[in-house]
Amino acid sequence: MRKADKIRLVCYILAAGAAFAYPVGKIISFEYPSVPPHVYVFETEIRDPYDPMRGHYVRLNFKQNRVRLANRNMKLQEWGASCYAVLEANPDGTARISDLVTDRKRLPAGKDFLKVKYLYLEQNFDGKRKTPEKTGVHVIDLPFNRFYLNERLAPEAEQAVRESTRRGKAFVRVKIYRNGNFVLDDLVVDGKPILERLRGKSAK
Amino acid sequence: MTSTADLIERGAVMAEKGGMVRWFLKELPKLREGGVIDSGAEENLQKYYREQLAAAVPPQKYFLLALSIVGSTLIAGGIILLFNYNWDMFSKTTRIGIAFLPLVLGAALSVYTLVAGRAQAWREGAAVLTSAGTAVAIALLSQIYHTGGTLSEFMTLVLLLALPQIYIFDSVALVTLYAAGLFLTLGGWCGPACLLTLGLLLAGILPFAGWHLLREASPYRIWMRYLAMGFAVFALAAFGEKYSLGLILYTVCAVFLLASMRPQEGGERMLRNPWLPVSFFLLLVLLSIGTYEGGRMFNAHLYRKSPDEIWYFWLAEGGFLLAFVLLLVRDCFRKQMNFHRLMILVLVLAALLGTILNAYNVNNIYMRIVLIVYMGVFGVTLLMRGCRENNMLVFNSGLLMCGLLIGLRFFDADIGLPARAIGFIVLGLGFIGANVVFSRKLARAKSTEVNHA
Repeated sequence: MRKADKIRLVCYILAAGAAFAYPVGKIISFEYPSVPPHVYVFETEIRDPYDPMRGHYVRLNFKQNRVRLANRNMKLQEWGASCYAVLEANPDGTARISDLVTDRKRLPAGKDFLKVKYLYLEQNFDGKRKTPEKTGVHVIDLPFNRFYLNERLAPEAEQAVRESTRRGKAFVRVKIYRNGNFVLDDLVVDGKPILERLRGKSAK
Repeated sequence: MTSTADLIERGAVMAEKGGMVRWFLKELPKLREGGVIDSGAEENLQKYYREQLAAAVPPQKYFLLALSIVGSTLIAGGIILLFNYNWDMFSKTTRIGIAFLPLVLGAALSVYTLVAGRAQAWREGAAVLTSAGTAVAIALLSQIYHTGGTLSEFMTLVLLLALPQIYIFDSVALVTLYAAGLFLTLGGWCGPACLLTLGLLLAGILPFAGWHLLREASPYRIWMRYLAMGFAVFALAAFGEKYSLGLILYTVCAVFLLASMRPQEGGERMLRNPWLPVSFFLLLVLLSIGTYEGGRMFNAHLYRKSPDEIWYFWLAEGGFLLAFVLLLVRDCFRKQMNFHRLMILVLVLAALLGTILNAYNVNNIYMRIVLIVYMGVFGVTLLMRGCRENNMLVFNSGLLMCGLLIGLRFFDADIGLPARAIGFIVLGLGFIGANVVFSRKLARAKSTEVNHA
């Protein structure tokens, strides 16, 4: 083995180590977290778009994307800039965004949070003066907006949610970790996980 | 050890040379009949060149290599789709195992290639497979855990992890993919943190590109000239809009035009020196706009821009200016400075002046006049140089620049349609006439050369 290739081999081991470390680290942080994650429930609508390489997946459209804050109701950021959404649970178990902060250092201690994309401020409208006000509702983009499903099941899932939203509700269960990481746990329609519901339907 | 690029280059040369050799073999009997060579010399030449032809790698081999690359890509794509279709049948552990499979294969191939000291083709494959394996592992894990994320974030991570592979394997295939992947890192809104990442990704690849561009013996030199233009376009897309797009465009154009002059003077063909046609075309476009827009061309777009973003713009602009100065100094030391190199320096100075004048809201007309005079002088001097050196390309470049300037300013003027029509006809006739006269001059010069010989 040539000397140059020996040096290359050492460099390669280091570089490949880094390439392995990132995904392995992700798996460890998801499977064996130092602090167990909290499960939050987000109410959602779903659509079934098609992608040539990924096939069908379910696109999620959350109601929590619109945030009204009493103490912070002016524009926070430019379109597309990142900010942090502080999470709390409502009495019915659904997630609520209690605050939006632009600096991670200003996050309240002990609270779960998500890094989100700030879109715009939907301004309130002054009916008397017929002009938009400076205050309004923050529109954000939650970092999870797709749930992967089997090629055959995605259209059925959309149909199931469409039927259920007339009668019941669709929710996504999300595990939020202390460092802001998240994992989509399940899509729940009418109190049942979507796969269980669809498989039950096809068994009938 | 022979690299892939070297082989491809040799293949291209052989394809070209092979045609020439075959033509020469057909000429040999005529040369013998004409009394230029005797039958012994003809026999020797026939023998020598037929052996050369037999030893040459046929160009079909490279065509087959390209086809096999396309074929294996399609097969890999099909396998991915099959896995995708049956994905939810597997347990989570199996899915994670499958996600790591390409990366493990890439690592195994890389270690084997380095330990066994395999040729460059193996190294290219190892670099690409390791990087593609990393991308597949990250993408599939994101899918398994439904963790979301944007394409630009994903590509940033993949490119950062691919960067060392390029250097370790000296891989031109991976650097080409890297150049394409850079454009996928450009998301919608890009703040200072994102600009820093983009800058680092670009800065990370520049030593590799620079090394191959400067090394005359590098087999990747020509291909790197094409990629360098891609990197410049990426820098423009990432940082150009943060302050004055006009200024950075003029600077980039000047850098590539100056860099293209040495290969052009060395007689390199257009395909081997792509900087020349591209930068000259860009110069024509920029000057055409500049002579109309004047100082407005160098408008600073400060709306919703933070000081950090402007700082990143100047960092990019500074990088291009530094490259320009280094090229100029190199040419000075090699005693290659001439009037047109000075004109390119004037172009950069004019762009900087335009930006300053625009910042102080000086009347637009001054910059317009500067650029009109510049375009006229550049065009006329190119025409003169073309005539002096009997160079059709330089002559036509000058003619094009002068014609464009006259046409644009004529089009601008407040005159009637018939007069404009006549003006354009006169310009067109002038263009054709000048070329006919110049062709005759060239033919005369050639016949004089032959007579002297």
